[in-house]
Amino acid sequence: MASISSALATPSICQRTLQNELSKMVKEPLEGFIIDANELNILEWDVVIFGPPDTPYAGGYFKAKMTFPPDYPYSPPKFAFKTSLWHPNVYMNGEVCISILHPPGEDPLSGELPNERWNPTQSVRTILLSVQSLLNEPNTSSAANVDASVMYRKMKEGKKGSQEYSKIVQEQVELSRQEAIKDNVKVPLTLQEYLAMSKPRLESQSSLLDKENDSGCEFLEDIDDPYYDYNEQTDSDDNDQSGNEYAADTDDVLIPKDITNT
Amino acid sequence: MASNTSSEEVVIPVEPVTATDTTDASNADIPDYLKMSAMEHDQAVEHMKQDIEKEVSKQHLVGDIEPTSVLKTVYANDDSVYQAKIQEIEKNYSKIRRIRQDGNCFFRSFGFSLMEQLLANKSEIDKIKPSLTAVKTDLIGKFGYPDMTVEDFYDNFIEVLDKLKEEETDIEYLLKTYQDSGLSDYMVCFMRLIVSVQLQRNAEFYLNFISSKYPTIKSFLSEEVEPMYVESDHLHIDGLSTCLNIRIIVQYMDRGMKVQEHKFQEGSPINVTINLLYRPGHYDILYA
Repeated sequence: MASISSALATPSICQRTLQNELSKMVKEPLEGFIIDANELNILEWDVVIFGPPDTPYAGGYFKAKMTFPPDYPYSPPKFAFKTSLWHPNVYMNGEVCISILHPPGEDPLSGELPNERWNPTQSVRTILLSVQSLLNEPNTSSAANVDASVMYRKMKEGKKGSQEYSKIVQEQVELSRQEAIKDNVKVPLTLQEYLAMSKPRLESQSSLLDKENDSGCEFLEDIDDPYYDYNEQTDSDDNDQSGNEYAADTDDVLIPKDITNT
Repeated sequence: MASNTSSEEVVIPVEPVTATDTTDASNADIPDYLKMSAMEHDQAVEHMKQDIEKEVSKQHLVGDIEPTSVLKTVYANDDSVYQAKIQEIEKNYSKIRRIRQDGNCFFRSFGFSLMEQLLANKSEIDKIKPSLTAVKTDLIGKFGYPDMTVEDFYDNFIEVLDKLKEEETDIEYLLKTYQDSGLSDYMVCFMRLIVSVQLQRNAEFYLNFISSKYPTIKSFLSEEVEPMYVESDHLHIDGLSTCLNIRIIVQYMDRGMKVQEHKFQEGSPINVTINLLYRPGHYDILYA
């Protein structure tokens, strides 16, 4: 179906729609974004997303590119980060995996609900808001980056290794800020306020890291929760112990295993 | 004895492979020597699809009126089933307007036929507008669709309707509008949203007719109704016809024994009747 649509595309409606959207974006800019459409090619937009406050991405300066098909808005654009971004729903090549960017009929991820697919009433604005909310709240039920997804879940559950995720993201945020300086982009005030706020939090995270080996009890408490144990075992790819351990009492098997891992 | 068993073993894996070679997920299980032919098969299918697309894009979005007998040339002379049915249809409908076979044909047929009749019957235009406005209001207010884009689709549709009221507007205007794929597709898009609203308003009722593959009305709409180029079915016709209270009569011409007639909103007080011809996978407009 997608290929049929591109063969029958009308460049005029696509350009008209994008011009419209662009002028509306200029009139009512979205908070947290910089948008720069390519003057020579309206089908390519450069976008900057500032990491949303109160997330590991806070303070980040993330560049992305939106590429529109000639039959936009009947088919969705592509959205890809140019800045490295460690996130459960961002592929290693930067492409973002959100359901509304998938044309109907395609089902790259089975865990995805089919009821949020692209339709022609979606727009750049709704896509950007979706990406922003994805930074706020990753969707671990359909991961594009499995490792990031596992780490994110560990962080959410306060498990052993829970700081890995924010550590990687933090490094990326740092790198991206150097890029912002190069681009002569002033990070918004609210963001700087946030950065100041986030410092004590970073300290608490690094102290957690130091304690990792002897503070086992903290993690044991979590692991004792059988619900989390089960999820962790079934969903994470870095654990290769297989189903035969389920036959045994899950709690008993998991606790020593997790400890020996570190 | 040994060669016998080994030849059997070779045969066994072939079965699941041929049965599943179109699904990506199972590709990993296909042995290399079979993968090649599957790829070639895919390529052949892709080439065929491209040829069909090229052919389709040559068709007018909305064609001129032709005698219904033109259909006889579409089917083989010795295709007695279809040739007989074409004669049967000709008795009541002498003319046909063919629509591009791009998956939007039902909506384009409906939209063009509706507006063509409104052009000749201008007093009916204002009877339809309130349901269109209600569609827009519900899309934005009740079902949370983005106002900016929905209003654009709605405004475009209303603009064309208003133009029909003007004395100097003629069929040439309507043809030009519907043959301009930008404008034409925009109207198709809005009509798809009309069906979407109608099904969402009566989700519980319509869910009874939807395959269990779609757990919610929303999932059905986002796969089968809202996207462009996706073919229409009974539910789409019912949704559009019911929402706008417009009478639709479809002549179903398939491989069955006789041409079947299906009527939607038969008792509508609006003086418009959309006559459509259905052939498997396609709709055209019929004229008495």
